[in-house]
Amino acid sequence: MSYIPLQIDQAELERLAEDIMIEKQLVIDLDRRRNDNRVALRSLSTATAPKKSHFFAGGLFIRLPTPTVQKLLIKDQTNIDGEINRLRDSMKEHARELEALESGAGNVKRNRGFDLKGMRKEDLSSIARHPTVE
Amino acid sequence: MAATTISTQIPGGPGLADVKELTRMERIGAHSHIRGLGLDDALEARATSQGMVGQLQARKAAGVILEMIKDGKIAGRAILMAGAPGTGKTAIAMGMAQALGTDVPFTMLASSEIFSLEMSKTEALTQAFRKSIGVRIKEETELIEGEVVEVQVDRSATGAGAKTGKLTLKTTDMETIYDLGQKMIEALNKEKVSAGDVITIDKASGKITKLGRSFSRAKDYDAMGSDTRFVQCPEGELQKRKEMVHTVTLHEIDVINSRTQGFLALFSGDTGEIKSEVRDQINSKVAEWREEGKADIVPGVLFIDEVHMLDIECFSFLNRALEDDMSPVVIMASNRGITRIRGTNYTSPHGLPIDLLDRLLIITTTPYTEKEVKHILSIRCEEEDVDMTDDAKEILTKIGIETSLRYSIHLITAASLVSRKRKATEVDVEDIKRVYSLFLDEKRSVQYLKEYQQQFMFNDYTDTMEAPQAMEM
Repeated sequence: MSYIPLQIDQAELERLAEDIMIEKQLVIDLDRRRNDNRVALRSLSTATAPKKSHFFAGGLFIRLPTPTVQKLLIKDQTNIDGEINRLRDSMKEHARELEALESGAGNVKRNRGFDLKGMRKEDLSSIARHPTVE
Repeated sequence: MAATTISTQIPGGPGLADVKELTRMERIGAHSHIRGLGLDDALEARATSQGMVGQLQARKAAGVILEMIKDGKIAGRAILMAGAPGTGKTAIAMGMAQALGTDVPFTMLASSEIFSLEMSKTEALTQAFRKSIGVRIKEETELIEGEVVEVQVDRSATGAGAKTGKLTLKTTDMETIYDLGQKMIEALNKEKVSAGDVITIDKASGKITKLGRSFSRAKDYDAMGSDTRFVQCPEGELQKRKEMVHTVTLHEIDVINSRTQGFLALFSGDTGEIKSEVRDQINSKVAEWREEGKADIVPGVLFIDEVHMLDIECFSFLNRALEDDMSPVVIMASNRGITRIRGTNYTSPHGLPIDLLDRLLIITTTPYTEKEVKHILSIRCEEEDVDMTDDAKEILTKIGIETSLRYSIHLITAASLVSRKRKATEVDVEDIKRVYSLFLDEKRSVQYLKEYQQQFMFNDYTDTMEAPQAMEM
């Protein structure tokens, strides 16, 4: 009877690990799109940009005036930024759960401290820099 | 052997392994064989485990304390480890330090270190207390990390206009082009970034750091500078969020804020007296961070050895300091019975005033049995890399019981050197006998001194003139 819980635990671990891998890949794909959007925005904002450009969305090419296309691209960028941040937080949460399952809820060593709010360099002006050894 | 939060990283490399081997001999201290407390999951002490032998009760008690520390919810607890000399008090403290790991600040202090000309006793104690409390913070940076494929800088036709450029960065998963402005081009030129370098650009400050050269470009040139490092092409997304968790102690924050270039004082050790205004400021800042969820307090352990050497003023200070809400767990060790409290003429158990004793949890250590002594000696032989025959071990155990554990431990290396002189691989009984006759233990030395003085009593000189002559020889 103690054989079954072990099996469930393993499946749970694998599920969490799979989630983390999927999210990692999603972040990479989103970042690729973000960079492409950025390059597009840059080329549209130069003086030699055409008055109307083709915008690809949902399997269709739509011909729109360039300022509209720019607005759409910027909106897409902010969406992607928000999505990437959400995915990163979710990855952290899953990694924490994974470690809690692996080594017991009290022994979370690798992920300790990552739930703190980040400090920027300005805040750190009064602190020494000593990386933890773990 | 104190484990503090300042970690020195020894860079890995094939050449450095030899250096480590050579210096290993110096690093074998009296307690280097201890890896932990040797408790199982139910906090029961195993007879011999992780370098600890015997002392089951004391180790179990230490295990309970350890759980309390790991929970982090207790502050201001104080423990006294009392026992005869050579019964494992410092060993248990070392075991606790190892079991806690490098994340928790563990400061070891011998009481006599408090007394110094540079700073007052209370300042030294306050610094020791603050060295034992850690603050965990997380540093967050957004940066762009990738391998440079191409750097292209266009100068305008007139030659005096602003430079523009394009930087192509790639990782194993993606590649993109960045448009560069004047400042960025200058920074790239300053760092001498070329195709094949792996760089990091900090988004907030625009700082460029060269991490090395990519492996795939290692064969580009036949001759390269001696300091070129090769790194793998980065993986994943170009724009990463890097988070690093640091643990610093309150003392380190104090020192850095106490004067300009304060962080240099951390390394030189010359911290001097730190004003209480600075400390109050730090306390309020850390409390603020705690409220905002930016920092975690990590209460650590302060181990004060030979606590009977502190005087009554230090004890009053300790009483007060233990009641602070940001106080570490204090473990004291004493091997005195009922002695005089330093600074007064009153006697008290363990040399501590009764009001301090009232606040302490007391763990006693008992002297070792013969079997335990034998086991400890085997562990030390292994640690010091000495092979010994079983007969020699028996003799050494008997010596350990009759004289003291420390004396027999010290004989181990001496006996191994003697055995090497007669070209033997194992230490045998004759080696032990030889070092036993060469090096006296405490009792025999006292006896020798008494006999020695006896010799002079048969002279014709008077008593008063004997004393200086005895000293000369």
